[in-house]
Amino acid sequence: MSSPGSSGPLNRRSLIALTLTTLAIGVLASACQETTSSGPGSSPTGSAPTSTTAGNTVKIVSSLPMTGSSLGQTQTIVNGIKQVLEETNATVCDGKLKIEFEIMDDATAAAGKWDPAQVTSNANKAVSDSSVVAVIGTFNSGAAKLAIPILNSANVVMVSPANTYPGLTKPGKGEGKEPDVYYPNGKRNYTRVVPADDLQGAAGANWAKSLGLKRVFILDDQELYGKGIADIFEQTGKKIGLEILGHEGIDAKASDYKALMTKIKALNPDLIYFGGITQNNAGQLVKDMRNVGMTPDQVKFMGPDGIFEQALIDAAGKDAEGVLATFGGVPGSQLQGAGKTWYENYKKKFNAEPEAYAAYGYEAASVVVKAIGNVCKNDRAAIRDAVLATKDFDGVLGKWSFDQYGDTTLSTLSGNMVKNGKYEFSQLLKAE
Amino acid sequence: MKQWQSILLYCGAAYLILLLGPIAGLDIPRIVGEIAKSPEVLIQQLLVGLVNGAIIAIIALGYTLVYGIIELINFAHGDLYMLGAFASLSMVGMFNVQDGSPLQAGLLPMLAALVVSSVFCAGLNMLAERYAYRPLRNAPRLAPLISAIGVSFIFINVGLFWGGLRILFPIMGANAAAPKSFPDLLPRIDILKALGIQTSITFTTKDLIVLVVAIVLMVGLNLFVNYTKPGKAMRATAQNRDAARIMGINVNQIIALTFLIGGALAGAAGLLVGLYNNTVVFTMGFTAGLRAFTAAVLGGIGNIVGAMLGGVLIGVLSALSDQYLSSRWTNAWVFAVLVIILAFRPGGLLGENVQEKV
Amino acid sequence: MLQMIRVGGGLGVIAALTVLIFGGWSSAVIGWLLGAGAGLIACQGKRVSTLLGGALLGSRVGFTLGGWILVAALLEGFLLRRISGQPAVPLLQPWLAGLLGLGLAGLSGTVMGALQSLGQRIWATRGLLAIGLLLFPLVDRWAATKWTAAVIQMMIFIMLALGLNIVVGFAGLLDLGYAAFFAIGAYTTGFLSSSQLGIQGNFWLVIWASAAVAALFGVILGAPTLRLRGDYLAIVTLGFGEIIPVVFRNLTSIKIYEPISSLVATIANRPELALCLVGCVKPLNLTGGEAGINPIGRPYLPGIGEFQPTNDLPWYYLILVLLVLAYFIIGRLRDSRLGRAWTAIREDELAASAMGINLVKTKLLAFAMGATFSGFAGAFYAAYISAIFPSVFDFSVSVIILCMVILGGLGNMTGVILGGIIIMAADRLYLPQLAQVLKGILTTSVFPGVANPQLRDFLATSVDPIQMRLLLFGLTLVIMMIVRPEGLVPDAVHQAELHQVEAELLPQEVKSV
Repeated sequence: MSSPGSSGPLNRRSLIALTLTTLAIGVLASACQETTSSGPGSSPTGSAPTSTTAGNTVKIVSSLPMTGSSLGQTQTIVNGIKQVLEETNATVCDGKLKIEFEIMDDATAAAGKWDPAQVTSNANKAVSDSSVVAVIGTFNSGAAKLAIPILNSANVVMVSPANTYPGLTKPGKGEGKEPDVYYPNGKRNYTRVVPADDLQGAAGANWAKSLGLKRVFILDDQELYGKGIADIFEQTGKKIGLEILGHEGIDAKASDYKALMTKIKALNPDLIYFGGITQNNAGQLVKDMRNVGMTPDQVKFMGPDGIFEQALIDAAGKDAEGVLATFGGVPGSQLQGAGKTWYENYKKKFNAEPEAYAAYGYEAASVVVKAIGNVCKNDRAAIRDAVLATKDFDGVLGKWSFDQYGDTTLSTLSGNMVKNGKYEFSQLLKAE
Repeated sequence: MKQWQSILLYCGAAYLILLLGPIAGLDIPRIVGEIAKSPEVLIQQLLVGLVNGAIIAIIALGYTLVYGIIELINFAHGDLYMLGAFASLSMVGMFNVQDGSPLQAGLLPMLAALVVSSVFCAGLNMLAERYAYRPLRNAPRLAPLISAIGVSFIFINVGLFWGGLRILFPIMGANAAAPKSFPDLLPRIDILKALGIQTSITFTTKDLIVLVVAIVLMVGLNLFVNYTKPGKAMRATAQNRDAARIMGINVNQIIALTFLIGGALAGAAGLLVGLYNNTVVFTMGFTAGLRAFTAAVLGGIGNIVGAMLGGVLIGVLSALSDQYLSSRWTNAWVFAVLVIILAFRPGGLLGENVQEKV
Repeated sequence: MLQMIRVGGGLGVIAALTVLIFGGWSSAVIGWLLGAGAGLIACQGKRVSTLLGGALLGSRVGFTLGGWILVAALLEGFLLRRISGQPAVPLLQPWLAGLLGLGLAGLSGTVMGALQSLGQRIWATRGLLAIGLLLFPLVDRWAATKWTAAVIQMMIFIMLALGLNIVVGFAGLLDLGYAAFFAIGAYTTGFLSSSQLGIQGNFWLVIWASAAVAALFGVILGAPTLRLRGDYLAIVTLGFGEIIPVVFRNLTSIKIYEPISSLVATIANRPELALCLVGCVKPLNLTGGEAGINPIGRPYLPGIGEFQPTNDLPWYYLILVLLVLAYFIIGRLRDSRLGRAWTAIREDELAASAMGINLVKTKLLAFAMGATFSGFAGAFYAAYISAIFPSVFDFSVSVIILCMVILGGLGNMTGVILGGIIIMAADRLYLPQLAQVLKGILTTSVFPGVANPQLRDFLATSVDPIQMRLLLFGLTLVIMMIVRPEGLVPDAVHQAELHQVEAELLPQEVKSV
């Protein structure tokens, strides 16, 4: 196989070369290092491996699915977070505390969506990194169920820009021993800036009634968020006297829904309510609804904040005209003062209309940064308490507080409608 | 005695279906009642299923061609078709035609998109064949399968990247990952109304175009494979590669040709689906590919007419399931029927039941 | 000698890449792990007679590897950290990390090499492997590399891959719906130890029940495929893989009426005649739908208490024990009469049945045995996550497990394990981290240098390595396949076949030239 005579020297030569390169790089690099690094953090400790974090740095991590089909929404959330950090220059307490931000992906490339094992592993990673003081996430309520208990035991606060499952926070609204089972150490560490399903679904049903829409067919995307909100819509609808013609789950990956829409058309509804997100083919639903001949003046289409984004209009094209969407706050274009500035900045920075989830992401990060600014040190429990104690926060969603369960007190939602290729605010909604 | 046993067995199976079926929406008395009440809905759904099936079938043709010649389940084919849809969308976007433009305005962009998308996909498919599958020609049978899965992942990511190129193609919209609207360029005239037939059934020119294109493609492909010289060479290569080589056929060229045709078909399918469903998204290839592959196997893989039949069967099945069973269960029902059919016809509907050589 | 450099080099690239993207003390961990590996490979297939000879051989590759690590550690510490915008580290640390990596790589290479010279070489290897596996989470914890969680997930998938290998590798039945059995195992655990059905079973019993139920379903779902061959078999298994998640997602409101009585009730128009069997008062919610079953009971051991999600160690050792057990059992199965029957039907079904092998029984046993191990994996998974959701078990999972089996080497257990390690490490560890580092480099060093602001904006929004993970993953698969078409460690039988073909072909080709 081998000829020792020729490869021996080769080996030796390569070893020498290797050694030389190593030394050269090391010496060069350390020389450079010496001239540049004179900060307080560069004292040569290096004894304990974990002591790499300096005391004046805290870290926020986001745990969101950055691979696969939810990417559209999660990207805008990250945009919102980054915007906050850039505006505050990533420092608080007069520049004494530096905030780092790390994006964690709770999806895997192979699966293409959030993966439970990845969620727990991210949460554990966040816990074991002592500089992490807050987690912004998760996107999916199912993921929150796994992450909250892990973060809870380490006093890390979690602020979700997207979870709407009521059982995560509200006693009596979930199943079994929810929500206490998520908080093993007895202290709440979870908040969300987005109103839970029980508010939004109910607001949607009330809105439908006030618009004079009686006969409703309900669809959902078979995910926790979509089905949850559709179920609440159905319950409220039945209570306030809407006629529910049916409730079906769609296959979010199907290439079209003409058969389903043909079936619905035969039932002659006034409104199709879709509990779900744009990525789960909401645009195709709208298109096929019009394709099979349900005209905009006969049948309306309504959805929750999961479809309150430009992406839906991009997806549904001219058929999006007249689509109704509820949103847990006041939309950016309607804001005054600080909110207005945010709206303008976002548009300038990302060259796009800020979406529902951008606002939620921005709000979540603002709350966390403000709390860190109040505490001014790397103290997980104190920051957790500061976040949960947020009161009368003047943010981009309006003025709101966290209630005792960590839910936003924002009960004013907005109803929006697509006009001329854009979502336009049409009215304020009340959940009750 | 034996007869009684099998009768009992069938009765038992029927009873079980009646007992458990309603959980998954199969409530036979209700369905019978619904059909009797409005048979027009049934006909309408059959039409919807037929057209959807035709689309599945066009994609399935690509699978069946490639499988026929190198016995490779080309997992990347569905994603290739997705890229075809993106290429078409970019092309149509460059002409700046509006949603719902008249046919005259849309004709040129559509033709351009057809050419560009077909050429693009054909080239891409040949490239994949050259660099990802050909080196594995003599490897174990399953090695190219993994390679194809890898290529499929690459294509999906390319689609995602493409969707973010809004600087080059403004039609892609603000968000890379979001679905994109494909302009509605095909005329949508209700044929039955135009003919003066009074019915609630709608069948538009759009549906008709899809059907005609599918049939033309299938017939053309069948003629090509059966009666032209390259087609015969393809069949020869499929039957026995070594023998074909000995007979002077350039096997590598023929296989490349197959991938070229398959790619062009995927490109055409991408355009057609874009025009018919009017939405394009980077994840659309995976499911469409799965359905199409299933259709190809159901019809008897390697068989062009079989792929067509399988596609239509799947399309009709899902339409009927959406109407009469429950859309939550549609996927399960489609695959359950598939399993049952294959259990009774192990070679697919039109596949030859290969006799064992003795 | 040349091979030795290749070993040092190939592993060296991996080690260097690891150190470059993970930084910190990962150099020590990877040096320790790969150093041992290099030492083993260097002595493989050689007659190493003396202790000194082996040690010399091992130390040489070990230190070559260590050189790579040292270079990488310095590069990472002084160059990469700066251009990727990460905070600088103390001056000494890269040196320390690099030298520690070098030392550990050399040392473990030497020890491994020396052990190879012992008479009972296989036992020496096994012993060292065992020590490595036992120590790994502790070392990982000390070095703060945080790999244990990923390794646990890795081992779950390796277990699945070993199970699938029985079906695909041993018996030659292409199964595209293996995730179905994983789901069945996990859901069985969910039903038997959660409040869903009010049963709080003990994990140590439930895991056996899960495996048994999965095996049962292996037989049930295997039965309709008996007549099928090749890709028709694949598509039917794929069908089951699609059906099972749909079933679990939708069994949320079950209400069953006895059909004959309800027919009578409809005809007589007296609804009270219909006999209700299940879910009469309130429809039965069996699976929790998309919300899944949550929480699921965790295992309990005296002395350790209930396993906690925040503490990886007990989970690591539990799955390690399960995996070793599975490896042992599958190895025995392969060498048993049944295993040889599987090989026979893989090679030639007709001949096998002519030789008196009962095809039905053998195939069904392959499905059942394959499913058993996915049942174990599913039970562990459900308890580890403490929740299950139907969306976890879809087609892509089946495909990834299949990739592991084929990439590693169909039918070869060592290969399958390697395949699992590589794919899972790429998917869970390397690619996300690589994407982060690349993104850091781009945003701190590349984009600011772009003069045109429009182009810069465009690049910053569209060239995002985090979103290129799928591409990287796809490339990994394609390249691995092209480099090793027979799999990383081809099965002896398969390899013999292939080379036999080559041997037959070669003279002809020569003649024709």
